[in-house]
Amino acid sequence: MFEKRNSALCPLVLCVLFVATACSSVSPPTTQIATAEAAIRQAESVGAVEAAALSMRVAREKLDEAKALVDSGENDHMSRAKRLAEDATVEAQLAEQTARTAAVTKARDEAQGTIDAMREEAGLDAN
Amino acid sequence: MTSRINSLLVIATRISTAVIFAGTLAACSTPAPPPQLERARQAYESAAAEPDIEKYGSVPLYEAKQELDRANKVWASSEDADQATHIANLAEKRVEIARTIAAGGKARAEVKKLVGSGDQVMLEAREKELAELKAKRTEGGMVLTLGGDVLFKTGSSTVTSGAQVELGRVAAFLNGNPDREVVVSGHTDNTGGAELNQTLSEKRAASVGSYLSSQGVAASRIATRGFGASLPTAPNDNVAGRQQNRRVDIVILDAGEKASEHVLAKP
Repeated sequence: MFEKRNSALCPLVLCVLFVATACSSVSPPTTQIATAEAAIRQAESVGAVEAAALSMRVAREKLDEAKALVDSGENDHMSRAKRLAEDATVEAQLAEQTARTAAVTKARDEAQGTIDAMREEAGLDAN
Repeated sequence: MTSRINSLLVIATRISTAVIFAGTLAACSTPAPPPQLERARQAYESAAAEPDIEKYGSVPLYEAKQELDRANKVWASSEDADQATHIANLAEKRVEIARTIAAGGKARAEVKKLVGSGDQVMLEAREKELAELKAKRTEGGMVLTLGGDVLFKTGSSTVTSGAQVELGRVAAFLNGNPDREVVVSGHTDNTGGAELNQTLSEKRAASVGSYLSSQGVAASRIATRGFGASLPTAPNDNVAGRQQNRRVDIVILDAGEKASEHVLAKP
């Protein structure tokens, strides 16, 4: 039922969209680009450049591409720029969390090592 | 007859046309959803089934679910495959973020547990050290009795080199446990004058105390006192008993107990 209504609406929607895109200039995804930049900075601040090098590189490349598309000023590039900026944001967020998790995992392993050493030094059975 | 066949044909044609039409309609109105929607759904479902993610990553996983719902909504309302695929990609990435956060949360919880078990190790290590010193638990602390004949030559209050090994272990224990203080009590047998015995017992306790102090134990953590022959632990009428009574008791107080107060509290 949903589909049927849609199929009926579809041409109308397309027309409206077509007219809308044809007549107005599409605004650049400024917010999305700012969000991506902030996400990348945040990830960098927790050492993601080392801990999640690939994700950080992908995020930066996508952001750069998004910016280049915005700079081109062409309306039909804007939706792609927006998607790229959104992709860059989640990629940077993943990098940030990867770095955070790597740090706490390292701390965990070190704590385990310290306790093993303490046990050994004290001549206690491994536990 | 012919007209009947004709009318049947007409009906059949109508039916098949209707079927074809319906088929065309169906094909037009419900194109297959982009495969990424299903992939993202599967990624979400499998993550949601993991207890660790439920425990440590419920919030980011909820955000992934919201993104997934958005992708499905976009597909259902506009059939914009590109946009639905894009949002489904974001959703799948958010599932990965949730996984990563959950792994971090789990590791953090493990660190907390390890810190706790570190305290446990310290405790076990202390008990083991005390057991090695053959200390016995008494009220307020662990008491370690060293035979006077082992610690000193007859009539002397200088610690022998043989006793230094034993006292070195006590000092090591105290250095490793700075919250523990120690009370050293000197005792003699009943041979000789009471005054001499009192002085000797005090000197011997002080000598043990200063040895511990020379090994790095702060003097403020050490209290010494002498009891002369007043507290025998065996009869003084035979050699073995007298030997047992010539002794130094080292009481390693429980954490928080003050050595100075113990000396003042008891005669």
